[in-house]
This record gives sequence, C-alpha cells and structure tokens, in this order.
Amino acid sequence: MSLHLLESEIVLGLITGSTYVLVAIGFTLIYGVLRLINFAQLSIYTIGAFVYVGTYSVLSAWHQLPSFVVYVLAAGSGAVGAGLVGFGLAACTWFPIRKAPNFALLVASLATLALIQDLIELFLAPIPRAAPNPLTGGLVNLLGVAVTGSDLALLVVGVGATGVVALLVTRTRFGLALRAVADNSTSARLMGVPYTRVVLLTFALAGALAGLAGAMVGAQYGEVSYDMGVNIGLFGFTAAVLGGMGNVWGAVVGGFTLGVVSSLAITVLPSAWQDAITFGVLIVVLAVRPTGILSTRTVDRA
Amino acid sequence: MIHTNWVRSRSTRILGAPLPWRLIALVALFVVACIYPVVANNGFVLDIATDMALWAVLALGLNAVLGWAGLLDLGYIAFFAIGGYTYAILSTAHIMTFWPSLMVAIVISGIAAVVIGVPTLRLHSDYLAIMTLGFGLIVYIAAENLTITGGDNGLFGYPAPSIGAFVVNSPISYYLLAVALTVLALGVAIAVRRSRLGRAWNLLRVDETAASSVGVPVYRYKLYAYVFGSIWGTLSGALFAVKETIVSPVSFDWSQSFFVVAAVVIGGTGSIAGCVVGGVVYIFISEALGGVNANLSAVVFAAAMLGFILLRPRGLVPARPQYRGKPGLWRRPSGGRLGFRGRTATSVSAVVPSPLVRAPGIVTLRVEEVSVRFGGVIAVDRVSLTAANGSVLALIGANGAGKTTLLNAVSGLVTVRQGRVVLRSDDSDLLLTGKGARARAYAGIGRTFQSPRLANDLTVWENVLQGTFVGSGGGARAGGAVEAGSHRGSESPYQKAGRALELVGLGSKANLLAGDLPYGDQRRCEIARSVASAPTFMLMDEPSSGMNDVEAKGIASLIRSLADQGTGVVLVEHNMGIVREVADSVIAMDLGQVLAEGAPESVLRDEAVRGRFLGE
Amino acid sequence: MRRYEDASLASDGGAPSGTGLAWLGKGDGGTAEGTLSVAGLEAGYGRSEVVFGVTLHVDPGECVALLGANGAGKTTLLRAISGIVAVRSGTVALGTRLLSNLAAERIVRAGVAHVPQGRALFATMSVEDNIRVGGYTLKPELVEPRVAEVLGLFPQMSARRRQPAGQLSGGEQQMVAMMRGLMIAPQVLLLDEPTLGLSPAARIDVLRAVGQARDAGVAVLLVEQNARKALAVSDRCCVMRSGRIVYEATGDDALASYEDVANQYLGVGEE
Repeated sequence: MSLHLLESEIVLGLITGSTYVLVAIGFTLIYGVLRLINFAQLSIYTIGAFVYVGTYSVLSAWHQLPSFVVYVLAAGSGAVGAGLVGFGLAACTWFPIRKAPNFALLVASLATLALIQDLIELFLAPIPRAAPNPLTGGLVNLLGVAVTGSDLALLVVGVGATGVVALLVTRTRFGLALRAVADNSTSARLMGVPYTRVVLLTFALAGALAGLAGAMVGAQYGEVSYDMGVNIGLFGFTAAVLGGMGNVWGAVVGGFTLGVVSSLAITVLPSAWQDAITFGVLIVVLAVRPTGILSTRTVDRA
Repeated sequence: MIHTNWVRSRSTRILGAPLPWRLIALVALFVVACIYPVVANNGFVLDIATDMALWAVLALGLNAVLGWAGLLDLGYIAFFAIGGYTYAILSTAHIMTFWPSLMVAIVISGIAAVVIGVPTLRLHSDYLAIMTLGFGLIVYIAAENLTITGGDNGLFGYPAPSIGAFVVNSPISYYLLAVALTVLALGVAIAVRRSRLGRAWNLLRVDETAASSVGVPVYRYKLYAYVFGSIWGTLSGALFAVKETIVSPVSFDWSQSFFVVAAVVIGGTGSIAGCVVGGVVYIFISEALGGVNANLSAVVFAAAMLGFILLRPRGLVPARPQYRGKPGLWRRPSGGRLGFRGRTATSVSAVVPSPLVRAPGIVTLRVEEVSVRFGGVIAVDRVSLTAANGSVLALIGANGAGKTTLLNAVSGLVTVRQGRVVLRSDDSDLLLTGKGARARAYAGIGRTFQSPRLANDLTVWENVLQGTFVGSGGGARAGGAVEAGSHRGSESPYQKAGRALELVGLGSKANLLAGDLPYGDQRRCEIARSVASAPTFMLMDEPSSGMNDVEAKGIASLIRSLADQGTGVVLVEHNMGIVREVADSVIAMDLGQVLAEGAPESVLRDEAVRGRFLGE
Repeated sequence: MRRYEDASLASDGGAPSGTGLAWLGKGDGGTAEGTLSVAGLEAGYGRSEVVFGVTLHVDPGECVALLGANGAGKTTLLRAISGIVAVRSGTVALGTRLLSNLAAERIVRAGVAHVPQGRALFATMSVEDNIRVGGYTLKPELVEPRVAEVLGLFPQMSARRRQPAGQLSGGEQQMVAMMRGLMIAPQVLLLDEPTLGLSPAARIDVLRAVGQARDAGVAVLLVEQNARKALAVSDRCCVMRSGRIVYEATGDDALASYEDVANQYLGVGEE
C-alpha cells in the first residue's frame, strides 16, 4: 500500500471517526451518570437526521439564504430537536421507572429505539430519503488528501463539538454537577445537587450530540433512512468501550481510533465486513481490557 | 429421627383434596388449540399455527436466558438462522439429512454461544447485550454475503426431512412436527423450572453474591443458560427452514431478535405459559396487521413492549413463584409422590425436632494467621481464631476494625493473602483458603448478610428451597466424610426446606412473597435458606441490625437454637445485648487485630476493649 | 463555659489555623435559622427500622456529641435529618421551618450541611472541584470567594487544590470534606465520625475546626466513636443504643462520670 493511500485512508478514517465520536460521547455521558447503556440514543440520532432534512427543505424556500447558512441552521436544528426529544424521552421512559432494575431500563430503552425507528419507517421513510448537502462539491486539500467540503465539515463539527462538551463538563456549573453525580450520586444529593434535573439534562445533551451526528452523516451520504441509527450503533458503542465507558476523552480517542482502524481494514477486506471488523475489535477489547484505553478504574462487575 | 409420616400421610388422597382447576383448564385449552388447526385442515390456518408454535418455542428458549438467568440476549435470532441454514446447506449438498444436520446445527450454535459467552458473561450485563447484538448482526451479514448461504436470495429446493418412511412435506405434517417440538420445549421448561438448575438461575438473576454463598456456580450457570437457549433457537430455526422451504437473510435480521425479546416481555418474563402466549400474540398481531401495512405490526409491538415495561412489567401472564403445598404436574413441592396435598399439612408445627447436625465440638473452624489487604490497607492483620460447632462466637469492634472483612474472608468472598482457613474434624483438615464462596458452601459454611439478600418476587418457600442447592447435589463435607447421623443424603430438598422453615418459625408464612415480609421475617427467611443446607457453620453479619428489640430477641433465641442443634455460629454484632445473650465467647477486634477474647462479660468489661471502643 | 481536657483543642489555641471561621457568622447560611430540633423521629431503610423515636435538639453555637456503638442508628439519624433517608414518623425542624418533609436539595438550601461518614468525596475530581460542589446551592458569584475563604481554614490544603481527591490521605480527605460542607456557611453542621481512621494529629486538626465552627455560631451535631475527644469539644452528649437515646448529659458531667458513658455504650450493667 502506498504511503499516499495510507494517508488518505487515515484522513478518511478520522472523518468517519468524528461521527463515531459524537455518538460515543452521548453513550458515555449517560453511562457515566446512570451506569446504563441507552439504546434509544440511536433513534435520536435518526431523528436528528430527519429534522435536518425537514428543516433544510423549509429553509431553502427562502432563496435569500445562502445554502451554507441553510446547512448550518438545519444541522443545528437537528441537534436542538434531538436534544428536546432526548429530554422528553427521558422524562417519559426513564423517569417513571428510574428505580427499576437495570434490566427493565435496558428493555425500555430498546423498546423506545424500536418504536421510534418503526414509526419513522411507517410515516416518514419506508424507503430512504434524499438528504441535501451544499458542500459536496469543491475539493479541499487536507494534509495532502483531497476531501470534500462535507468531509471537512464533519471533521470540524466532530472536533468542535468535542471541544464544546469538554468545556461544558469541566468549566461550567452544570458540568460540575454532572461529574459529581457520575462519581457519587448520593454525595452529590447531599450537597444539594438536583439529581433528577442533572440526569434529564444529560439526556438532552447526549441527544443533541446524537442528533447532530445524525444530521451530519445524513448530509454526508446524501440519504437518511429509518435504520441509520442501528447501523451506526455498533460503531458508536465500540468506540465508547474502546476508549473507556464513562470517560468523555475516552469516547474521543475511541471514536477516532475506530474510524482509522476500520478505514484501514476496509482496504483489505470487503466493505460489507466493516461491521464484523468492528465487532471483532469489540470482542478483543472486552476480552483483554474491558475498562478501555483511558479508564483507570475497575470495570463494573455484573 | 425425622418424623416423616406427616409428609406422606396424605399422599394417596386424590379425591378428597382440591383439584388443580387452573392447571386442568390450561391443559385443556392447550389441547383444543392444538387440535383445532388439524381439524380445520385449512392451509392458511395451519401455516399460522405452525408459526405460532415455532415462536412459542423461540420465546421459551429465550425465556431461560432472559427471564430466568437474567441475561439480556439481543441476538437470539442468530441461533434461529444457524439452525435453518445448517440444515439447508448440508441437505442441499447431500452431505446429511435432516436429523443429523440438526445435531450439527446444535453443536455449532453451542460453540458460538460459548465463544460469545465466555468473555462477556463475567462483565456487566449491558456488555452482554451489545455482544449478542453484534453476534446477531454478524450472522446476518454472513448470511447475506457468503456464497455458501446463497446471499440475498438464500437457499431453496433442499430435500424435506423424513421420519422413517414418512416424508414431512405437507402443511399438516409441518404443523404436527412444530407442535411436537413445542410440547417438548414445554416439558423441558417445566422440568427445568422445578429443578435445582432452574432455582439456581432464579437466585443468581436477583443476587449473585447470595447465589454463590449458597453454592451456585454463577458464571458456569449463566453459560449453561445461554447455551440452553441456543438449543431451542436452533431447533425452531431448522423447523422453520423445513416449513418455509426457503431460507433467506430477511427472516433473520436484528428486528427479529428484538421481537423475540418483546414476545417474552409482553407474554411474561420468566413465565412458561406467558412465553407461549407471547409467541402466539406476536404471530397473531403480525398476521392481523401485516395485511394492512408490514410496519404497523412492528410499531404496535414496540409500543406494546414499551407500555408493558413501564406499566405492567410482569407481562400478560406473570410468572408464578413456587408455592409450598400446591400440587404440580408430577412432583409435589412438599415432598412425597403423586397425589394432592391440602395446605393444612404444611402448617403442622408440632413434632419435627431437628436432629443434631452433629454433636458439638466435633468440627472446628480455624482461622490461622489470616491477613487481608486492600490495596495498601491492611484490613485484617494476622488474626487467628477457633470456632467450634455447637457454640456461638461473636466478633465485636468499632467500624473499620475488620470484622466484616474477616467474615468475608472465611466465607470466601474476599481473597486471603496470608494464613489459612481450615475446617478440622476427626484430625483431618479441609483447607478452605484459595477456594471461593461456592466451595465453602459445599464444605458446609453458610452465610447471611447485613441486609437480607432474598429474591423478593419469589415466595419464602422458594427462597428457602434455593438453600438446598448444595445438599441435593452432594459434595465434600468437612474432613471428607459425611457423618453418621447426618441426614443430608436421604432427604429431599423439599423436606429440608420444610424443616428449616419450621425451625425459624416461618412455616405459616411459606407462601408469602419474600418482599412482602416485615424486616425481621426477611432476616429469618435468609437464615432459613442457609439452614436448609444444614451447614456446619453459619457466618452471620449483624443479624439483629434493622430490628426492634422484640425482633432482635427473637433472632437471638433463633441463633441459640441453631447452636443447640450443633451448628457453629460466628457472628458480627454491634448490639451488645444480643452478644451477651447469645455468645459463648467473644472476640474484640480493632484495626484488623484481635484485641481481646474470652467470655462476653469479661471482654466487655476489659479496659483496653472499652478504650478502643470509645476510641481512645 | 468550656473546660478542655486537651488544650490543643481550644479554638484559639495559637496554632496556625488561618483566618478561622469568623466568616461563618455572617448570616447568609441559609433560609432558616434557629435550633435544630428532632422529635420522635423514626426512620429506616426499606423495611428495616433503625431509629425508634429519637428526640434531641441542638442550639446555635452548641456542639452536641452523639455517641454510641455501630449499628446504634447514629448515621441513619443524620441521614434522616439531611433528607437522604425517608422519615417514617416524627419531625425534624430548623427553628420554625419543618424539614422532615423536604427533599435533600431543599434541606441543604435551608442551611443543613452533612459531612458523611468516610468522607464520600468525589474521588475523580480535584480538591477544588469537590469544594465547589459543596457550594452548588450558592449564588454562582459567591462560589469562588467562598472557596478561597474555606481553603483558608486548612491552609495546608491550598497547595493541593488541583489534586484528585482520591489520592489524598484520610486526614486530608476529611479536611476537604469539611471544607466542602462549610461552603454553604451552614446553620447546622452534621458530622459523621470525622475522626475515623485519622492519625492523632489529623484528629486534633479536625476537632479544632469543629470547635471553631461551634464558636462561630453553627449548631453542630457530632457523631463520634472517639468519645473522649468528642466530649472535650462538646457542650452536651447523647448516647444512642439500638435506635434510641439512652443517656444524656452535659459535656462536663459526662467526662466526670465517664464509666457510666462507657457502660451505656456497651449496654453493660443492665439486666
């Protein structure tokens, strides 16, 4: 394999990796506060994508708006809409059963995923729909590799969102509360931290990230489908586990790493096996170092 | 001598005792439902009925994994696929006929289950969910992309199976075969539910620590559950292939795994009848709504599943715990053979003097220079003590003195770095160090915890039955010899449980749900569970905590009677009143070391002990 | 008023303890004021009963030692006061404000700070951040200045402010836990075995801080196993056994008849 090919695979890997990062951060935030893997995140991802498509078509009726602005607004509304849905879902499907055993919470989040996905399939997209993207033209040179404007946007958003989340978690009052709840929820309550509110807002944040990822990926591939959430689910989850579940930086490292690894692997294996490779990575991580690359504490035993 | 007459005395009365109406009705309904499609002889009805039967089997198989062992398996349909494809591939290539390829499929599924299960079952249950999800995905991708599986189009035209001279290639024959499989699955499920394995699953699902303290090999049993489930998935998959005469990936995608989970949850997690209902309901809704819109049934089902989990988590037909004295299919839960028993026999509290486990002083539990470290902290520092069966030893000390850690070290929940824990009887030693909680249970060490670890959704009776896990399977006893006069081998688990219940005074409450009991009774129930294994030593962690004075006194006299029976008791206590009443000797600990030992009064008046206690 | 067995515990004993706690008396401690009164309190976990009808009170500027062996219910009592454990019957009030039916969050805002047993710090967060969480219910602009004031109480921790709390020694963690608790300038300070597992020197530091808090007007309820030291810094003591108060005395009397206290602790001498 030539060096140039290697470089371009790596760059492309980083680009796809940034979507994994966004999804993984969502998983890891919720896991941090609740020790729960929230499958419903994947359907929120899909919702973000559809909101993007819908908003784009509404806004593009305003011919005064440059298409780039429409793109940004649409993606943003995808994030916001998904965040609201995330909050709402948590209020309806987590809050009532928050004291139930983990099993029930998992099943509930799974059922939510299936329900939303099936509703989308039924009413919005029995077949995939086209997603507009003004940035597909115009190649840009990134580290010697030619990428489209859309690719670049993905990378920028991925890195940017990560930065925003990092700032949020480390420098704001909410972030402080979130970290406290994730560390020791009883002590946090003892300090007057409003546990339920913090958890619900975490769901909203995770949802917003997932929705943003969905919008960007939908735009990138030019189509949105009802099952796109499930398709990226394995990658997002593996990325989170790889970096260390519960650790935001871990999600970042895991996401980019997985993107690059899978991109390189596809050069040798047929692309249909991408899922299998990711699954293989997951098995290896769980068998060898279940806490992930960055985590220092012991994994939660069953 | 065990007075067993009262157990058997009503065993031959059939006409005089109440008949199990619910059971008879269910069986009748089942038989009618099975016969109807044959009578109707309508192709469409037969087809649906066959699907219903296959889904009932799927649900029953997943139930063992999900409902009993508590493992969230999201890729169950992978086994279904393996069953179908293996048969199709092997018979198309004329390598094997149906029945041998069925065996091969089961083996393949089993191997896959082990490969997936071994790394993941030790971890948090969420990880298993993802791994199984991935497994399901991989199998689907393989089915779609490999040439051997026919890719997107799948495989068809493979030969039909034959039973002797009879070829299975008509709707009625498919149906009958499916019903046969369902009946088989039902029978096995019922048998397993009532078996030691099924009970063990019910406990480890709820509390793994309690399960291992009772002797259950938690990890191994989880693996068994997963493999057990894979068998039924495979069988119904093969039958599906027979019936459809075509296998293609579309039947095996992820959503199908989800629907099996939904069928179990909606029907009733852990309930055998519920799972059959769940499978039937799934097919019914699919057919009814599928005509309108293929996705509508998926939406309805997902919404139903969400609704049930939020509002009625136990499902349509909730699982029923085992009750004492209620007649079952072929075993009486309270001992005895066929026949029906009324409830009154179980509340007879007269008689049944508990036989001595063994005479006091014969077996000693020795802790020799044991140290336990956690990271850099020495929690227990070269502690030695001796406890003899038939007497009560109390460990007292301030917080952090190391008492609970020591208890954990003796019961095998914590590893010991230095020193030995030994059971000695008749001059032969049984070394316990290095063996886990399970092995200790087998050696006759029982354990109760600071908060009672019970299965709250099961009856007192079933909780106590779970304690018989060790006795019924046999195992090494102290010194390797089962003592003369020990009745362990000759009694049924039901008899042991019954006697344990009487001893703690919960005989009349046997059929109440453990979660509904007042706290003191919950503690007694936990004690009964341990007593049911006839342990040589009972390790009790703060048995009187959370109880008012009256309850605490009751527990104290229970502890005394345990000791009088020949059981050795080592307990950690803070309530000095209990200690004075119950203990034959007391050890005061501080900072991981033994501070003083001796008779209760002298230790409690000891200057050094008081000083430490009050934190000088 | 106070007679110290141990001069090192005197709050103005000349040791370099920084600015002391004068700022505590500034009165923004909470929305309620007055005596902490507990009447007929019953509480437990799930179905268990741990506290059976406890009645006690702590006045502002008073330190009451709550003594007793483990399992007596002392921790549960504190948790019932701070709202983590539900109150089954009886009342908890601060001045005229009823606390027993409030959520933990609101009780904190009312001015009750609970420093839990074993510190229960946020191990992955820095010392600073731990302290900041303690000030969560304050107006945001007050937090940073308060953090500085609180750090002045244990100046030796100032240098370690960015270290993850999980890496500190027991004594250091206890200081952080106390600083965290004092962030809200509480009316009531509930301390659960603050000297547990500490070196003798650290114990002195901690108990001195307790004395300072008391002198600044805070009502302190001090749960301790280290009876003698606790009595030295307290005005009154109550001994709990099996969920009830079985003995009460003023600090001086208790020290004088220490044998009685010890007996009550262990339930010796009762038939």
